Amino acid sequence: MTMHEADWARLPPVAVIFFFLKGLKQLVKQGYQMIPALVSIWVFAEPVRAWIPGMLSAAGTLFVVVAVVRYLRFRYQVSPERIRMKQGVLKRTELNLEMARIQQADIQLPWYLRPFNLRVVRLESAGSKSQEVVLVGLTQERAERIKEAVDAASGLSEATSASTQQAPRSTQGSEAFQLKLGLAEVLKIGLMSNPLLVVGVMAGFLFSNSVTRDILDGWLETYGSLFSGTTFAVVFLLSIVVGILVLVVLGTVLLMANTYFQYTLTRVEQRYSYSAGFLSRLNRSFSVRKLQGVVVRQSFLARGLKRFSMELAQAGGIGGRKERFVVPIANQEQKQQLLHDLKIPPVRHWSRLHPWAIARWVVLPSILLGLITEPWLGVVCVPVLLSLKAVMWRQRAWYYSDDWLATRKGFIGHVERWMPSAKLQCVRWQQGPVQKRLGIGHLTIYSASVTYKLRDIRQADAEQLQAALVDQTRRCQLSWM
Amino acid sequence: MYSGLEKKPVARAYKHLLALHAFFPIVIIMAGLVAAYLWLPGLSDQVPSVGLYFSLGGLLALWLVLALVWAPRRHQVTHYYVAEDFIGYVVGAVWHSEVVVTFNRLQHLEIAQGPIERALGVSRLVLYTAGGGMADLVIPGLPVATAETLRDAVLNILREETLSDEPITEAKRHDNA
Repeated sequence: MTMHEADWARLPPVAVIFFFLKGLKQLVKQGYQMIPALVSIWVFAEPVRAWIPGMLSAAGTLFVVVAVVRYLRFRYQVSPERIRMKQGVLKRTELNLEMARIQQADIQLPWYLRPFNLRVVRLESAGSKSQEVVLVGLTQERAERIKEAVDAASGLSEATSASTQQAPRSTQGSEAFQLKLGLAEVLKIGLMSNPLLVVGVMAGFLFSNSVTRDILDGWLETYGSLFSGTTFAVVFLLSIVVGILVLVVLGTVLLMANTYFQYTLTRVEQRYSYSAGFLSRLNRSFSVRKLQGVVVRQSFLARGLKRFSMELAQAGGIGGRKERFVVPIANQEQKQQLLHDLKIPPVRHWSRLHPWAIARWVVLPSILLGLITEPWLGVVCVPVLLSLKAVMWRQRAWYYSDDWLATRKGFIGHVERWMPSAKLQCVRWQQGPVQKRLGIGHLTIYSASVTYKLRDIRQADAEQLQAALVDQTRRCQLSWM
Repeated sequence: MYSGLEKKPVARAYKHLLALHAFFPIVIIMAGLVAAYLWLPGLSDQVPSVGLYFSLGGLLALWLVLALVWAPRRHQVTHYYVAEDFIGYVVGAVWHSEVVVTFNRLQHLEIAQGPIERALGVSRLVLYTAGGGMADLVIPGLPVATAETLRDAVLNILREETLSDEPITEAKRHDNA
């Protein structure tokens, strides 16, 4: 079991770039809070000004030195059972990650390693305190070998790992499932992520409160005085606004296209993997056995484009957006194919919630609005809120078959979530006094990734569903992780 | 919801624990009121001392209602049940809640005891799963011996449990053509 110190491997020198960039990222992330302090020093402390270039270069040197020391202190060790990592300058940490606990394996080809044709391997473990091992600057072959070790540990059949060992790169033809995105599709991803909505929200914020509105008014007045004619001023301003909007949309589209360029999702045996990216390429894979849920989303704009985005969710589920296993865009047919591949059944009949859900949170906000503003506004608020909630109620529903539980909700966009029934962690039934009279309540179903909240469902349905889920889970002695 | 199973009540001391739990926030509010009345400038001139006494009396009455009505009622409905492979906990007379956890999803479990609980001779059994992040099932007000027996019983079940390596989720298997 015990390994000698000599077994610890070091990363190649190019990995310094990674530590440098990581440090830079941290600095930007945490350092922007220091900006006001630095600016005030610049403005008020005149004698300090002369020292600033010196201080800056000292800080820069320190930064580089820290990156190099961090690189020098980094060691790792890969064995068939686990991967170990030692790192840290002042605070030394050692991480032990069991191969079987790894749920996602990434092989990245980041832009800064392209000239060297080296890869980054990123392995992530399950659990709320998810751990991560990042190995920078490995050769393609070494990266593949580590990934194979992960595959082997996560219970893939002997035959598969043997076959992939013989021909690691020639998996063509053995795919059980494949989904490819052409350039036209990839360009739509940016549109789907609602860049205009962000602009709209920002504009809404600017006009919503008096302070920003006053500033804006003042600014507009000075702007108007720059021009002799009003029409020209308006046209000029409008073209600037449209220009900014176009830039925002274009920027998002290009950013997303860069991330998901030549996206290909494949499944070989029980392992899905996708590769994508233009400047940096990413190959991400995970085993179906670790799947904790499937999410199908359709934003407002995606609805117009008749497209969906999907996510194969894993335990933890709270991880950053960057670490998710996603299908960024899929048409109806592709969506159905993937769901079918995951053995998710077509929904025959969605069960609605009790109409009481519409009345919830209508009276109190209306009264409050009436008290704060004008009484008539409070009165108007009631039908408005009721109709909004009726729309939402129509979208909210749940479905249960023997193997899967699904919920659906939405207002302008649409989200559908699927959970393998036997992967239930815990189920909670709640009922308030009004609900008791109506024979309804909330059933909350906890999975290792998302929580499914069935609000205001009929007690009889809830009892049946709870019993079915508990029964299925308790009898299921298969591995859920 | 599981009517066939034996409902196991929690200890009688849980009633006192609830009454004490309700007592502390009320005492803090009362102390805050007295302090504000004594030291906040102008307050004692505007509000006659009867007002203060009434508020304090009201708070005490609220506590009495909580201690004499709410706590016994909550204690009465609070119970848990243990089946062969799952455990459930029921609480709340007005706002009713029931949690069920199957043993094969348990991550770990612990027995917790605060100073008041220690004085009353009760403890909490806390069960964790991988869902939600917080403790999933907490059975409060268990006599220490009961909590320990229950914990040992659950641990025994977990020890004997043999999870197969076969996965639950699987993608479609295609016959190799």
